Amino acid sequence: MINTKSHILESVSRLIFLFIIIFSIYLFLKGHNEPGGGFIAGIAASIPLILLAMSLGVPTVQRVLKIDSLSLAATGLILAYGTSFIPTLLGYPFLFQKMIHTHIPILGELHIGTPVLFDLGVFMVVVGVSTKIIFSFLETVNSKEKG
Amino acid sequence: MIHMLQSLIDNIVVLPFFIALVTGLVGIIWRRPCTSRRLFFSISAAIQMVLAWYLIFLTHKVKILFLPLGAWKAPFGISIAIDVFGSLLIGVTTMLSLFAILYLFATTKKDKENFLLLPLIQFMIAGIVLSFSTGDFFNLFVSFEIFLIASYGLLTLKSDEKSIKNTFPYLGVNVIGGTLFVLGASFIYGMFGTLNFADISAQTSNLSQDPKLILIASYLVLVFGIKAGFFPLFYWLPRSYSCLPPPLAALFAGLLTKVGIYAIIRTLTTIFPLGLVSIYSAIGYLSIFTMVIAIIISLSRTNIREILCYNLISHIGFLMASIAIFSPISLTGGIFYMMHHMVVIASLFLISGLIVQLTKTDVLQNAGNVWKTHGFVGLLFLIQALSLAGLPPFSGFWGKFLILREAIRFDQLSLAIAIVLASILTLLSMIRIWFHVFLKKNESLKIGPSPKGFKRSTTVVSILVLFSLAMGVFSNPFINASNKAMTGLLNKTSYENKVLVYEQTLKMIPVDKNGHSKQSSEKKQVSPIHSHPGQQKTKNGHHKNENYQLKSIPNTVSKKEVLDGTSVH
Repeated sequence: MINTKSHILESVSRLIFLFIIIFSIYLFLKGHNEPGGGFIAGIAASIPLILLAMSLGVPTVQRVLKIDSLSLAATGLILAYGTSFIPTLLGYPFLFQKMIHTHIPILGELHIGTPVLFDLGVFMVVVGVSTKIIFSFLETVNSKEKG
Repeated sequence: MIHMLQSLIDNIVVLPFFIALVTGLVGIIWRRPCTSRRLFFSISAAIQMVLAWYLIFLTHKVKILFLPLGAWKAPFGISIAIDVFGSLLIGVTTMLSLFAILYLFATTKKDKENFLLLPLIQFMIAGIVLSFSTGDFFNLFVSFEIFLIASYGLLTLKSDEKSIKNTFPYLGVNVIGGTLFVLGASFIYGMFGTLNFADISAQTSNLSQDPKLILIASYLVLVFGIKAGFFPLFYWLPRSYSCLPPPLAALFAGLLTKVGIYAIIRTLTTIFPLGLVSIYSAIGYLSIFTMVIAIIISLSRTNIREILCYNLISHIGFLMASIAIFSPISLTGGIFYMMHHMVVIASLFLISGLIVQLTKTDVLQNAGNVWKTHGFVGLLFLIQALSLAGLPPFSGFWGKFLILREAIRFDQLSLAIAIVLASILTLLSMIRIWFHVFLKKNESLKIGPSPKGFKRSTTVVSILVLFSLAMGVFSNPFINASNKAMTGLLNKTSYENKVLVYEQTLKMIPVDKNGHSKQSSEKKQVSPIHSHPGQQKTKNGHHKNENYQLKSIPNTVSKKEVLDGTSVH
């Protein structure tokens, strides 16, 4: 089923790719005090990638992604741990977070802080790991069907 | 610059964990196996070891090192607290990881090395170190999962049929164990409204007769017992461990089961009130079965690594026995024995790797002749085997002696008999290996010149053996350290005070721009119990003494008493 090229699947997954990515960014930014955040956004962002991999094949998506899933996950974890490590150099405990609360004239309240970077790390880990798992399954299935 | 260093030192308790984790992550990105990558990993392991030994030094000065993660005060945030016991185990863990990595480098070719191998080892070490240093139940679960997931990866790294087949029971048992652990954590949260060790301890100090508490404590002992390899639950262990390459088997055998024992000791001392006599006696019965049955099975095996695995399980029984007696001296002996056993069993697995390098087999029947050609390996094996069996000048003796003496002192004769019996049978099983591998003349086996990397790996093993020898011959500082660890474990009030009434050196309360402290708003919602932790503590101090069921529990057992005890006979 995966090998046989389905035009419907391909065009639909190309179409909804952008929407789901935008939705995942929305989820990501909404995260700190409300449902959402790095983990959920990561799951949401990996769905269109998986759909594309199913329709276009894993190698194509990997070529487009440019970075290997596992490296993406590792980079994300390093980012997350890096942001939690920096406070230890500044006299704060490990994992300390700083929040900034400002008022931007037209847009309204902005409530942002270092947890965003941590969440970005989580986001990358989730995208990396979930695509890695699904891609390796898809690859095994494809290679089985071929030979 | 000095400020940075100072604040880094204030945060030192997370550093061994952090460095191990980041090293592993760098290893995932930097994949091509080459000499500089290996150098990077070994230097990182060495730094971890030095840091861990510095931690031992620090905990000997200040007893407990505590860090509230994210500047959240103790019952709310995750607390990392390392006492003497934890720091000793972290020291041994990081040392073993360094030696296992060096041994691995000596024996495997660079191009045959899977790029995930070293990162996974580092993740496993990170998880183990975190579980030795955490002060929070859920965090303990997380650290268990970190090292378990890494260990699943390490077991199936070859991804051939045999290793997957043998990993499956390991996976199944540990997944079930992990689920039970989470359930246990939720029970605890339901009962006490907290997962912080010190907070639970403060709330339960006068509940040692409460049946609900006994139930939850025995449930947790069961959960950790699955990890440690208690009597009916150990069948998964030899199957999975014996299909690993020697350095990994050494790490697994040396560390993983001990984490279970560590968690049991932590649960029964730091967290729950002392004097849960029914649980101690249950552990006592289980330990008898574990000791005797596992060692009898080991006599029936014909494969060096499986014999060692069953010896490992049997010796978990000794540690359980020390918990079952639960007197200060027996716990001292148990802690000493734990450190000794980590080093000894790991080096025995490494020696079995040397034997396999020489004879190309680890089946007893096919081996032989080694003593003639490679006497030094025989010497190493002999030292560690006698140490495992517990003969006097070697390190196994002291721990066993303290436990045995306490068993007799508290009239636990069945336990004492089991200890002696298991020790004798250990000696027998070691003699079997000794005879078949080293002494026996086997005409069909030709041992050629030493294979490549043999010298380096032998050097690594002999340093480890030297350390274990030093533990036996100069046992004084080690017994003192274990004694101090035991004192720290039984002195619950100081742990609670340290964690709940934290005099911080680090900046603590996060304040946002409007001047709201995040914690002050949260504090109001929490029950008033937490508002005066210091006051509550002193109250508990009184209650605790009444509930103390043991015959003689001085708060501090002096070194002299321990040593006098050993010199009586």
